[in-house]
Amino acid sequence: MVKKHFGDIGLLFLLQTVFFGLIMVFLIVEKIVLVLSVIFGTIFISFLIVKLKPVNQFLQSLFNKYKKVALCWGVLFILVLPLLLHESPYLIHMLFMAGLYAVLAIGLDFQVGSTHLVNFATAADYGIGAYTAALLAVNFGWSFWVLLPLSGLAAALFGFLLGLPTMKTKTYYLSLVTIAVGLIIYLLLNNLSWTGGPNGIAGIPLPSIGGFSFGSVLNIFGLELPFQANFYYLILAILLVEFIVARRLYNSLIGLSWNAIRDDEIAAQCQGINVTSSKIMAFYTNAFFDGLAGAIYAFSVGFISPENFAFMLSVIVITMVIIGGMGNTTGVIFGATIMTLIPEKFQVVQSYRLWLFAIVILVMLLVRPKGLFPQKIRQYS
Amino acid sequence: MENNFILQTRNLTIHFGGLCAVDSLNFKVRSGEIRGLIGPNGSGKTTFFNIISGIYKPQEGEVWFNGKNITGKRAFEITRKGIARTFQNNRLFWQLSILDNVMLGMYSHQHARLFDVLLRYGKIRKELKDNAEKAVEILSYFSPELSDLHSRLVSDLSQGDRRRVEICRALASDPKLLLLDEPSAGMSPEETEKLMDDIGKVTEKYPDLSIIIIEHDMMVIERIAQQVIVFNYGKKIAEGSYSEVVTNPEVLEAYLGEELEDAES
Repeated sequence: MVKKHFGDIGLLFLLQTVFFGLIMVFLIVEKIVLVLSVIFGTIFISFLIVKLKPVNQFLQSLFNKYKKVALCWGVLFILVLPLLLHESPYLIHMLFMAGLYAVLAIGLDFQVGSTHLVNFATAADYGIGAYTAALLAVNFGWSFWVLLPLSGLAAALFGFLLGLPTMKTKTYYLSLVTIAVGLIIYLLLNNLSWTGGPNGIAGIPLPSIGGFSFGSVLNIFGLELPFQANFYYLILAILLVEFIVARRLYNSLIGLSWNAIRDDEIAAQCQGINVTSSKIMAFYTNAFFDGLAGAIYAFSVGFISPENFAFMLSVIVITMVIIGGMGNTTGVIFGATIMTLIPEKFQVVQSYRLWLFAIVILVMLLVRPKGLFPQKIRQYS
Repeated sequence: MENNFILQTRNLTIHFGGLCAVDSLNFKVRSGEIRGLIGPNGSGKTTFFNIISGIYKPQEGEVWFNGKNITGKRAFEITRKGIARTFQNNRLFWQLSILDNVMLGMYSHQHARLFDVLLRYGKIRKELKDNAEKAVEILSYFSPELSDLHSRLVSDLSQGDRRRVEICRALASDPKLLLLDEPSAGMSPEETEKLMDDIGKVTEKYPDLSIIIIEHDMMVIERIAQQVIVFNYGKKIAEGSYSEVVTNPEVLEAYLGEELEDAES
């Protein structure tokens, strides 16, 4: 019996390590051919795993049995990544950006995934968070740690105000209103004098904690990690908090009421759900996390301009939710990660980014509209 | 308004454009009564339910429920006061499980405060667990198979089971008044038999619950309803026991008129 346990755990360990190895190869390798082969190889293997029932079931039962072990090993890998990549600050920065987009995507999932409110104003929430942090830091010298929650609250207030006029609208018209508002915010940022106009805001200082500046090198186990690692760990912490919040919302009457509104708004009203206030709650909980991400972004790059908060960003985040899985937090993190890393790897694609995202959205909506990882059925022990 | 009636409407009127769908309706139901509501298609029965449950606002008249004026109140407020309903075309939450659907019926008594969910999650988790147990209990009272399969999606169920889940969801809110809108729609004769048994179980378990049931299947009305009301063109044209109403000449004309029209077209 014990032998079987060890054997199974060993197998799980091995499979995960191979997977992590693939990830490392994908990150480090630079020749396009190799990157492409890793991607297609992974797609092919995943396809096989999904289609071959016995393999599929075996893997699922393996992971379910030793969930804690798998989780620990996965978390360890994520924590240790910067150490493995300590010679590539650019890669660590890319992972930081993936984490940032994951924060945006999980928030958007509250609206798009759970409630089917297709909100195109993510860039606006994000921008308001970033500008709140930047303006108060540069003009009044406020500390990052005060500005972080403040930016979240500022964006949440904006989200709440954005939600109000959309309550009279349905589906497509709601999306139109959010597109319009996103555009208005962009124009305001670009044209108001005190936002710096098209030149944006520069000179945002680096955060520091107890004398340690985020701009300095991080020393762990004798290894010197580039300063980007500091921001990587920061975004991981925020992701953890957001993940817990998302799970709690999901496994509660709030998440249930969002799903009910998605499935049948009239029936939802007749269960005692105040549909209007539930929808607005989806707006401001999403916006809060976008605001947090905005503040972190501003402090990580030191300079922001309206171009960072254009409509394209909202489209990108929606794509991540569509790919990853509507209503599945882990799926959404996965969607955010691959949609950040893949375009980065294929720098040639940069000019065709719009094409890439459009094609991906079309394919996903046609082939698998619920995303790669569909919503899980709630379990009550 | 008199207090021994759980539901009372006075001069209730609603127009849609030029059409008067419900016309100066006076309607009374006592606690524990089971009322049948019949009438030809388009006579305003479902519209009447929609006004009572708060989906439509009447232009004239009043609705009183449990001693309080609920005219014009919004649907979620009315549900929280104790009116539950099912829908003709079965409005279940299709992408959720059977258990989730029934648990949502309990929303009116608990809502969900963001503060609690974020910071007092232990309490929320316990509440959910208790709710889940209650929901399973309600389901198993009607069908042990359903309660065993409670993690299945409702979209996988037969019409009879779907209706059963809808009724369980309505009962989960512990209502004082239950509105059933054509529950036997889309059912085979066997399923309709089971439905009548289920409604019998409802009255057994909840003797104080008032029920108004819209039906086209007269067998159901005959067996279930204590008093029957007949609508035609938004007006009440007859009221009484089933046998009285079924032999009423005005009622026969209302239905025959509909059959003649169908035959002519």
